[in-house]
Amino acid sequence: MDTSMIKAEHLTFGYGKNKQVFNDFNLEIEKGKIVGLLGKNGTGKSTLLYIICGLLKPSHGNVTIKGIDIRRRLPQTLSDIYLVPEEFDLPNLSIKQFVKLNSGFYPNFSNETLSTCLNDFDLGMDINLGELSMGQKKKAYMCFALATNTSLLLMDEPTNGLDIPSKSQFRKVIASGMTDEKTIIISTHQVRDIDRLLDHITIIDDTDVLLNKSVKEITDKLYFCEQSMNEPTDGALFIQPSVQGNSIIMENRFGEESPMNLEVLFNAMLTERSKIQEVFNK
Amino acid sequence: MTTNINFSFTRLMAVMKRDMIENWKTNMYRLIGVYTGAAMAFLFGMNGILSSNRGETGEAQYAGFCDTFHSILIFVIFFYLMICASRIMEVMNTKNKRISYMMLPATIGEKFISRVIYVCITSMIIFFVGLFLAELTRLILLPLFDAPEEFSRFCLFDIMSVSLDDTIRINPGLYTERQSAEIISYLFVISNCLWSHSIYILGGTYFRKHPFVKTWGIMMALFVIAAYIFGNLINIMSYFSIDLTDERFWIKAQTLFTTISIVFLVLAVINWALSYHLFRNSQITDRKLFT
Repeated sequence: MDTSMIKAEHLTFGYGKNKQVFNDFNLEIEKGKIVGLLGKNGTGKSTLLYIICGLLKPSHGNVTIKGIDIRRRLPQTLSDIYLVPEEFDLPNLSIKQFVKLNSGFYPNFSNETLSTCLNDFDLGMDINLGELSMGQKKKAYMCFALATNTSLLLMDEPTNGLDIPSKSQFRKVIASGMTDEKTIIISTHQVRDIDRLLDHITIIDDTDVLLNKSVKEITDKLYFCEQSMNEPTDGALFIQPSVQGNSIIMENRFGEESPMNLEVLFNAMLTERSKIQEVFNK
Repeated sequence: MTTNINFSFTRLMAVMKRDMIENWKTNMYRLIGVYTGAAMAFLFGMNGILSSNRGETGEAQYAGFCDTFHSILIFVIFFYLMICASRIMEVMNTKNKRISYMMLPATIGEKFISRVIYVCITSMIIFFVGLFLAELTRLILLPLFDAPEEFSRFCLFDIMSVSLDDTIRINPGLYTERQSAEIISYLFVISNCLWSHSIYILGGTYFRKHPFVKTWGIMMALFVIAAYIFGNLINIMSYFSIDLTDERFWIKAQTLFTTISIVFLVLAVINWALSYHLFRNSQITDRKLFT
């Protein structure tokens, strides 16, 4: 059985001749995963999301979603993908009218999911989209996106503009709406908002995939811990000063369990890439 | 809704409905604009004709009113259609709107046709509803004017009937005395209108900001160049004593105008094809004509 949701092969893309973003870029993402797409500013996270959903066309290579070339922009593919961009406009309509106009395009749309999700975010079914604050608009839009029940949900900086309680609600609604047939890709800089939610990490940098592993694979191979300043750091793959002392990544030689520190992992991949990759290659 | 990969009428209707309702404010402002403009024109026009009465009968005054408005109306309709045509990609003029519209699960053809119907038909319906309401306003306010009985007629039909007849028949004698001149003049006017309209459709698909002004500017530049070339051509023809109206001449006037009409029709088709090509290859970044 093919478990692949997205397959990007030999992607080459640039904004003009002097601004190459991807060069022979390859990526495969499986079904049933919540993927964290991480990278520095300008590394092409949003661009990759746009290419995945066919809003940008690579000069070379192709992207397939469940085996269908996304460049064809077929209704059957588009009705199975939903993109929540970082910035968006919503019409000056009630949520009911918005749902009435748009839900028909998504065969698996669930009013129940929408209602539950809106309640979780303290929004009702009687809201007018034109009268909401930016944060509330984002919540309403994400609820609609989740209610479409598309196999692929792409979110670009979804927690930007959300207040603290909403960030934890966000994690809750994402986790509750997850199934084995769905894939959610979350591109973000706010790693602490989502690190407990993810089960796959993809880090991109300078047209390359630095890391594309499941959280299980990462925690099987790497051991994350906090140490005081005085404790020895021998054998550490990466050390990052923290409030408690040092955040450390070590090779997990004894199969110990540790919670993944996404921020430290991200910094480690940027600075000590070869050391970390060596551990994964063992 | 169907996920048929071919054309689906249900989906087309859904795209159009979404477009209409989500942009209800734009449509409402457009209707208010047309209504206000037309109502002001009707009322001030009627007042002007009535106050400058030099002893004409009511019938003559009413005919004058209709005559004045028929040419204005044709000009306004043409101008309005061009503005609407240049707004064909209004739903994609910002990055956010492009993402929303391009991600809509419908075929590219359905989305394009939906926009074509909007700028060609729905916009005209909005225009005529505005005009109708303006005419109703004129009739309601008629008692305030000391107008002859003829002015209480519903003037839109009278204006239209004059307009259609007068505009299409652009002096058939100008081209030739023959009966077929009328058909050629029809063809010539229609092909010119279709071509002009298609230019604004193309401009609207290509330019994201101020498409009407930019297309109009280019059209004016082309017109100046064409006028210069045409002027020189006339000079050359008179230098060689070529008279197009001369029956013995190898190019007949009819043939020339028929050829020009066909060329315009072909150019209109090319413009539409280019517009669709641009739309089909739309990305959220800038459009490129040759990709």
